[in-house]
Amino acid sequence: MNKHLSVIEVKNLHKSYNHIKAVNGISFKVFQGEVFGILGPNGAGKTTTLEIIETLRRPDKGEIMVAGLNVQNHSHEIKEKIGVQLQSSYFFDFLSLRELLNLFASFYKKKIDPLEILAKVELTDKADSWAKHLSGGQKQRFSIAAALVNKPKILFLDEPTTGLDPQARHHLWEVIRRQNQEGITIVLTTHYMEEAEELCHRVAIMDQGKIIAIDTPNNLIKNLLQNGFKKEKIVQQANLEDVFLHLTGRQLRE
Amino acid sequence: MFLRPIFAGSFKMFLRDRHAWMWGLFIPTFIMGIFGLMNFDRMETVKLGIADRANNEISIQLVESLKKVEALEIEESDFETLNAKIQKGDLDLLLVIPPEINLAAITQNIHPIPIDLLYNQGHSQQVGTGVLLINQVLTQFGMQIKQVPPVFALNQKSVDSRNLSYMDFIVPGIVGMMIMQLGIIGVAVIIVRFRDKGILRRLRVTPLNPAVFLFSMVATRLLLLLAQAGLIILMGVLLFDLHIYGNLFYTFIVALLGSLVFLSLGFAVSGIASTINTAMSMAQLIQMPMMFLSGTFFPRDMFPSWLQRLTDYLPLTYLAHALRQIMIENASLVDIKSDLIPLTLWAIGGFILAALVFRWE
Repeated sequence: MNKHLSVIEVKNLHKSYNHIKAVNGISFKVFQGEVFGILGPNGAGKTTTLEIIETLRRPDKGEIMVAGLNVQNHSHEIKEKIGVQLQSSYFFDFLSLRELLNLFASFYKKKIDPLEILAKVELTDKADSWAKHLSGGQKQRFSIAAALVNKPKILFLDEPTTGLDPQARHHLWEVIRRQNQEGITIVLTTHYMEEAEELCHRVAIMDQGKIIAIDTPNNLIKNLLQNGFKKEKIVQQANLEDVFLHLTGRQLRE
Repeated sequence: MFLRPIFAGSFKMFLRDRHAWMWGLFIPTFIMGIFGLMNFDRMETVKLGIADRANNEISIQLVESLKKVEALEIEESDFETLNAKIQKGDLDLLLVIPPEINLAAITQNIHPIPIDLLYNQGHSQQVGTGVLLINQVLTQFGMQIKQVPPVFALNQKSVDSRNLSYMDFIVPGIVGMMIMQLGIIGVAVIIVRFRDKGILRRLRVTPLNPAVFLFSMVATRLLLLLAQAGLIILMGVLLFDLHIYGNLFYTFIVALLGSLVFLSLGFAVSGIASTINTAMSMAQLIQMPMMFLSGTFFPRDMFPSWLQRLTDYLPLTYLAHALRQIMIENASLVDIKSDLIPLTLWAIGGFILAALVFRWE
């Protein structure tokens, strides 16, 4: 990651719905090439923040730059440069994955090789299946594939692994990490701390519309320990997920 | 052209959608087939049973003369069988030729020979027609035998007239119904599903204007509908003796105007309903009364006058009437302006309503 080059800059962002402040004056930067996580309980304002950056919603106040462009007056150009996976992974019925990718590419007036993109998410063998016949993990991977058709600089993932079994989740992490290694900046929201620790270079923790902490996962943990925090239970070298994966294997079930 | 893949995608989606074909093609064909087999036109014929108790040269000649009358459907048998049939309601009339009928009796007798005609009280219309026809045949037959020259000679000339069959009536109605169903339920359900499942939202993070996408969806459906309507009409012509006289281009114009009316209503429903189920119920609630009351299947003059007045202003009433006038009566667009003007008003009203309530989220 390049700490001197920010691809997203949010300054003093405000957004209210019916006088309820969903986002209350937040500021942060996302650096080029990093995986940036936005964490927080439900209703913290994560999705709203993401939707404003993705140009789906207008901010009440604040300045938001994405890839050097202001979201207020360059939303069209920004859409050309970003890839978005939304929480719903439904796609049109009666079209194969290959056809869906071609269709999405046409929204960007681009021609693509669907198999090349499907290979990135390991779905080449499903090229001629319909989206509704995919398993949960495959659907999520396909959502990522659909977000890659325009070769985006920034990829937004909204709770990408919610509802997946441990095998599928680990597999999806691999896919995300590989995209990041190819140079795509990734912004994701999640409920799973383990996921943030595993994937994110830096995380912002949101609560009640504000960012209450922002740093690398390691630094955040270190700070907490320095303030004298101790877990009640002795930390073990393995957890229940390790047991589960050890017993059931890492092989994908789909 | 960048729109081409989008249209191609929408086309594939609908071509592969079995439900769309079922509603678009199978159901209208089914309705046409049922009504075609019921053949309401046949009700105009009179079912006459003849029990010939004389069974001689004269009586056989009489039966032959009756058989020449097209409107009479004749069944010959013994009295007991036929009497049972007329009591069951299978016959309208039963003519009993008495054994006293023979050449000698006719030429000598100055009094008319009584012939019994039993009639079905419930079928007054057929009985009325039947009695007239039989009377006519009997008079002519009697004069022939007595060799009385006729006073008048009826000079019959065939005119190439358009005889409207029930099929001619119903097919334009079915086409109107198809347009209504595509517009309201077809469009409302698609939009609500796409919105509900987040597809419209997904489109909004791409540079494509989602309105362009909806336009391509609606336009392809409309094209497919026209193809389906064409098939229905073709089937009517080939299988059910449908007579098409009108201008196809005018038919197309009227169908397009009707589509605009119902599409805007469909968009309005999609804006008001928030789930697929609500959208379906709302659409059915609007469609069902129109399907039966707008003169698609049954002529509206069969309804009591208050119901006719009430249904005068429904968009499908105008559309079905306009289509029928053009396809069957060969009307021009000016002839049906009393349908086209209210349809245009409906389209404008529907569009305003749709614009007010439509939402992407």
